Amino acid sequence: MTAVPAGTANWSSSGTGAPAPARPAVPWLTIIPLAAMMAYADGFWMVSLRGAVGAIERTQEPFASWLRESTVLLPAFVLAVIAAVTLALRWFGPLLAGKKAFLTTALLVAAAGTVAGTVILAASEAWDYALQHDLMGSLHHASSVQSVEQLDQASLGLQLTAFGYGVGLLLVTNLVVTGWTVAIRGGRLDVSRQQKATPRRTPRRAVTGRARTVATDLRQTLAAVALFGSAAIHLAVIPDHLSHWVVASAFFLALALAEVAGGVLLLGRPGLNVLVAVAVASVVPLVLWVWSRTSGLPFGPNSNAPEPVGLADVAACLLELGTLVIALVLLRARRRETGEPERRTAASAHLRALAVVGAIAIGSLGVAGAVPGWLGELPSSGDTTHSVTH
Amino acid sequence: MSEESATTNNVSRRNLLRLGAAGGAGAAVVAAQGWAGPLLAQKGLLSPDGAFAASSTALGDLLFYIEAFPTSPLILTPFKDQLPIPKALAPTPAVGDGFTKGYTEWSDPPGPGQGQQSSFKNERHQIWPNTIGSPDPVVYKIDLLLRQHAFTTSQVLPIDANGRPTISFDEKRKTYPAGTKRMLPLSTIYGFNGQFPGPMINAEYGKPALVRFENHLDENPLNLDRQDFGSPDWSFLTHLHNGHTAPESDGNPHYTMVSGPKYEGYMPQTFCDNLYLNWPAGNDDREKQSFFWFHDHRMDHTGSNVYKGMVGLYPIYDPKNGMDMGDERQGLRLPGVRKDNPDGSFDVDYDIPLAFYDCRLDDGVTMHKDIHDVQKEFPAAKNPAKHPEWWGKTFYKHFPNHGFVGDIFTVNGTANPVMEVKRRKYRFRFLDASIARIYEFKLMSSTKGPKSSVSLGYKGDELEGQYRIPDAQQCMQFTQIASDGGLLPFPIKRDSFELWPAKRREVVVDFSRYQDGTPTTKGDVIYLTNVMKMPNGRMWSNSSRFAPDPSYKVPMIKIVIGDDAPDDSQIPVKMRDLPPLPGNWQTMLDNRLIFEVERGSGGGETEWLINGKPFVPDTVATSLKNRAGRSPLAQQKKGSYNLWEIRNGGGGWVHPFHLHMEEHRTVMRNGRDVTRGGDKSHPDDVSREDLVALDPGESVIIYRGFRDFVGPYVAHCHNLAHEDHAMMFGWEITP
Repeated sequence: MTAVPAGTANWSSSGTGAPAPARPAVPWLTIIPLAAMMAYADGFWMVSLRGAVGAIERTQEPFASWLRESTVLLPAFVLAVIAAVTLALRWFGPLLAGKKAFLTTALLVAAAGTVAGTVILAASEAWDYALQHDLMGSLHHASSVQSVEQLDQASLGLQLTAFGYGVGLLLVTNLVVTGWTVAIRGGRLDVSRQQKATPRRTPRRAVTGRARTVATDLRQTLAAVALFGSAAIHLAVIPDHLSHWVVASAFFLALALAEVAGGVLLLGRPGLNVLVAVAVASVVPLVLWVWSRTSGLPFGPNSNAPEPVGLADVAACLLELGTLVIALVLLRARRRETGEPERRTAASAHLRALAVVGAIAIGSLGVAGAVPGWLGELPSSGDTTHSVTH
Repeated sequence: MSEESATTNNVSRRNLLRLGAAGGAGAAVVAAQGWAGPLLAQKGLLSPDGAFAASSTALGDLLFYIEAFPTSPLILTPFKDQLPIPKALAPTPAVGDGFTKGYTEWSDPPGPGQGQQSSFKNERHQIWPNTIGSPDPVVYKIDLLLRQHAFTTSQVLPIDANGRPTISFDEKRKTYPAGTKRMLPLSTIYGFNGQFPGPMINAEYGKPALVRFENHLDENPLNLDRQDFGSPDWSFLTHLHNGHTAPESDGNPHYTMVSGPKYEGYMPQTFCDNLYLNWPAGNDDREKQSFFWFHDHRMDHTGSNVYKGMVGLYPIYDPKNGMDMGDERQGLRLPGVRKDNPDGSFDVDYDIPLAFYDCRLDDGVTMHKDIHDVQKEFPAAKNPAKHPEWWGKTFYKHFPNHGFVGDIFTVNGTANPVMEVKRRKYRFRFLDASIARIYEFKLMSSTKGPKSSVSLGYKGDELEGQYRIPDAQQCMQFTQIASDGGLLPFPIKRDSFELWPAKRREVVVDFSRYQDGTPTTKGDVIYLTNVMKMPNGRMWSNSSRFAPDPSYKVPMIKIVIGDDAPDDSQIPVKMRDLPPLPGNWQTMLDNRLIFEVERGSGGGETEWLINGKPFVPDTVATSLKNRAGRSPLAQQKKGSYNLWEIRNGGGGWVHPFHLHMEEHRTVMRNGRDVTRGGDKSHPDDVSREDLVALDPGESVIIYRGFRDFVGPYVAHCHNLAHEDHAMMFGWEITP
């Protein structure tokens, strides 16, 4: 435990004797191992539960599924752990003082991981139920007394039971994993770390000037990450579209390239033109998406037929929406040529990390959802298309 | 405390924590390797995917599929009831004798005409015997009747899962205190001619048989309580396993759902004429078989109907050149002394069928509850409920998530029978008529004899089989002469052999001397012993192939050596050649059909799937994508041959996978060519079979033909709980 006497939990009075830093930084060496341990441990139970009660389409090659899904969902757990340490930072300050603060923080981390795992588990169980519902719908034991409704009810009951047990398993697992990870780190559970020393300047000016830079950086960085995420998703859907509509593949390629370019430009000093271009690159796919999912596009192989909503396109839309909002805010600020009000908080680095990791998590989910058989559409393993019926 | 010492303490505390965490992880790894590793290896799950399968299974068992099974009362005086040796069923004469009608006098006589195949009058027999040069069939009539059966005449002591004496009940729900010895009530059965096992038809190649199965299950002359299993609408569907038979006589639900009754089975007061041509596939003598059995195949209720008694025997002899006609003075001179009866049937002494069947008897305190109760199939039972009034009668669970196995082992319908044999050679025809239990048999002798498992301190699943022989030692060998597909090319000496559900094995045992050459003497006792421990329907926990348990030796039959008797039989050196494989069979691998059996969770009772799909009875299934990139339909041209691959999708289950219509030959197991010598674990791979024995994770490629008939058939797991819950697919032969 990194402990200091109670009531002295602030950087200026830390036992290290180091000069007080301007702001606490995100303790990645604490967050990443905790998140990884929980992601892979929780993933084990989720895949195992699926093997017990899940849809059969999703129970093949469980080891590969576990590796793949745990990795894809790792950003979600990172997000959860950052949220937990951010809260702990607000409650207890940059250094955990005393056992209570330490234990509460550890519990917060385990609880946050469990919340992330629970959300994922709920989504997974819902998908299993949907697949099982489809399967039962295909049964036609015409003269059997069993009905699809009865089977449906039994399936739903099983999934709900599994969810209840699953949440309990995740909580216990995350408590154990958090304890073990903290122990293997020699009892370290940091909610922040010191940033590298910066040259001294007048405190108020330095803080104000830095806050403005950080705020601007955060919005631009966030938009850039969202654009990169959207680009990755659009690149991932190209192979699936190649077989039935090359034009769509070409569009997604062009869009991905534009998003990458926009993201790179945003990381520099973007001018008005860049911001407008980013807004356009975000609004065009959004409009097309709404169109294609409602009335259907008037062109293409399935013209005027609405497409189903999927994980990948929802994730891309969220990222594009975020990018659009940021681009509009930046445009508005640029026109007024006024800076943002000071928003400095003790956890600003944490909040920045939360935002960026959140965008990465959405992108990661979207990319995984775009690959058939990962989290998205499953390839048919049976006779869905050409079975002979007498 | 000085800063330096605090730092020192901090460092040591940190290291202590690190060491503790690392040590804990290390201990977990060691425990996993030392305990879980062998356990997984024993179940064929020692792989990354296997570990997940084991974890899923454990979760399912612990959290979702909690099931209670009763412990059957302990049979107190085992090995007193004689082993029933079935006699051949008499055929129905063409013309009656005043007491019974001849078949020509039936209101709907059998025949080759349109509408003469069943009471639905909408089908005809695809091939009538005269078209293949055979005589008109010998006609039998078998009625499906609601009757009773006794598994033992011994007194019993009601015990609980810990082996302690417990309370019992009678049909009026009167409670008897723990320790009261009781007689068992008769169990209610649905039986062929009202008996269990049902009748035995001794058939012969070249002499077709037509069996009229007539449903009288709606009649209840004894006013019996039907309990809560068996097809709820009392329908039946009889399959001759594995006769080379046209679909209309095959008794498979793919056929009955699209033709004939257009229903899962034949309802009460209907009949079906199953025509068994007793004619080998392709009229090739090498395709001749030697032991069939007939059993119910009613869709969704095969397991419960078979468990309720719908089992019959059908040895088939080959009189051509006297090769295997039940006369040990002719042909191969296999053990058997034939006696032709005046009614046209014949019996064969020293040639004994043994049908193995395990059951559980109700303890009156176990809850009856499964998905079939949710569906209100047995409203009179008012389940979920306990049924003390059914104490001592057979207990069944339709949808056992762990599979269903019994704790009382019976042979020919009798628990712990005794059989006196002459000092000579016998031919035994083994059949596993159990729902899911696999047996491994040995012939063993003992000085101290059987002890009850309770008296040896066993509890729970270890009580299955009720008795053990702690000091038993193998004393004789089997000479295996046949498998599912008939006589082997040559006899195989075996210390033990496995018998999977629905499989048949035929062996010759010489009771005149022990395996070390010592002559037997009158009064010597030998036990046919089961050494495979199978605590649930999933798979064995111990067997000779995987982690043998030397203490698990359950006596099945007490065999007492009797007097000398003439013995003209011989164990032949050579028997029946295998039909040849085409030299280029490996070129067919790319285009093979692939079917993966797997445990799924479709909700309700749809849990066992093939290629991810439940059984849809009016549909022909599709193969998984093969190496040629195609997913062919399970449709074969008449007269064609092909390779089919059956894969076990894992999960720690074994699957006895049965394919109707023709025998197959295993050519590859787990990617290895076994045509020149079988897998050590599956020595019968070199024979013809109708059932693929799939260990966990195994894959088997078989070569088979599709000859003589056209129409719909099925293939399915013969763990009947799996079959009844969708692990089946339809396939067909096209003209």
